[in-house]
Amino acid sequence: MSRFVLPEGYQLRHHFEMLFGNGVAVHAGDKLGADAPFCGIYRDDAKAPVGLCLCDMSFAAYAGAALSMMMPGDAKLAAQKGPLPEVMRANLYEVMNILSSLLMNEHTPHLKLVELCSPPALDASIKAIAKNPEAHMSFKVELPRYGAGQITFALT
Amino acid sequence: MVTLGFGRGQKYLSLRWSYVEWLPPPGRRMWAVEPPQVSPAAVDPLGAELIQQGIASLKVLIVDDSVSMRMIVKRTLRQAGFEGLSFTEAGDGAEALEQIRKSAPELVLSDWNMPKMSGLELLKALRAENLPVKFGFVTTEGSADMRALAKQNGAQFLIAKPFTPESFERALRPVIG
Repeated sequence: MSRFVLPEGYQLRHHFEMLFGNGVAVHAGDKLGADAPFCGIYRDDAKAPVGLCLCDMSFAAYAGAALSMMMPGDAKLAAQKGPLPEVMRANLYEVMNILSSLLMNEHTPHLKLVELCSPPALDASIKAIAKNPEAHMSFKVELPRYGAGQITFALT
Repeated sequence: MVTLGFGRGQKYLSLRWSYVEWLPPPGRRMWAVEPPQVSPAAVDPLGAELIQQGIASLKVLIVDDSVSMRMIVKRTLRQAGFEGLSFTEAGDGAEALEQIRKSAPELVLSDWNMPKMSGLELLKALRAENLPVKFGFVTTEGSADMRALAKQNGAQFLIAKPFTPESFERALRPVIG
C-alpha cells in the first residue's frame, strides 16, 4: 500500500478548472507505462522517487499550451507531429508541480516534483515504478478549446 | 519616482512625472509662470482613489521559476481587482534578493521551490538583513506544516496553487489594505 494518495477525478477536474478555466472533463483513462512520452518524477524529502505522473503527447501539448493560453492550433500541431516546444514543456512541468498537492494530505509524507523526463532518460528505478506501482490511477482529460489527453499517476 | 501603472491610474502617474520635470533647479527660475497645479482627482478619480488606498503605487515583486506562472499571478491580481500595481519579476530567490536590495518593493509574492535559492531561504535572508518587505508565498506547498513554517519565518500569508482571484483577495486585502 502506498504512503501517498491518489487523486479522485473530481479533485483533478477542480485543479484543472482553476488552472485552465471551466469546462474541463475528466474520465477514467488507460494506464500509461514507462514508454509514455513524458514522466514527471516526484521525490520524498530523502530524495527517493515515490511517484510518477505519466502523460501522452496530447496531454503534454494541450496542458502545456493552455496554461499560458497559447494558440490551440499550435498545441494541436505539437500534439500530432511533435516535438513539444520548450515553453509548453516548461508549462507542463508547472502543471505537474501543481498536481503534486493531490498526492499528499495531512497524513502522508511530503513529496515534490523534481524532474520531467522522457523515456530514454528514465533510469531502472523509475521504470520499475511505472511498471509495478503500489497504486495507480489513470484519467482522460479534456481541455476546452484544446483537446483530450491521457495521464497516469503511479505511486510507490 | 515614477511608477508605471495599468489602466486609468497610469494617466495620473504620467502627469506627476511631467510635474517633476517642470521643477527648476535650485537657485534658477526657469519658468515665468508657476507650473500648473493638477489635482489627481480632477484628472482621474479612479487613479486618485487607488493612490489613497495605497494600491496604485505599490511595487510588487513576483518570484517564480515558471514564466507562465508569473504571468498568471499578475493576471489573477488584476482579476481580483488589484489594478494599478507595478510589477517586477525574478526567476529564483537569489535574483529576487538582488532586486529587493536595489529597488525595495513593498510586497514580494514568491514561489517556495525554486532553483538556486528557495522561497523560504529568500525569506530568511530578507529577515536576516532586516529588510522589512511584506512577503507572501504562492506555492504548491500548502500543508499545515509548511504554512506554520512560513508564518514562523515571517511570511504574512500563503496562497496555495492552484488559486483563484478570491484567494488573492482574501490573502492580500488585510496586508496591503
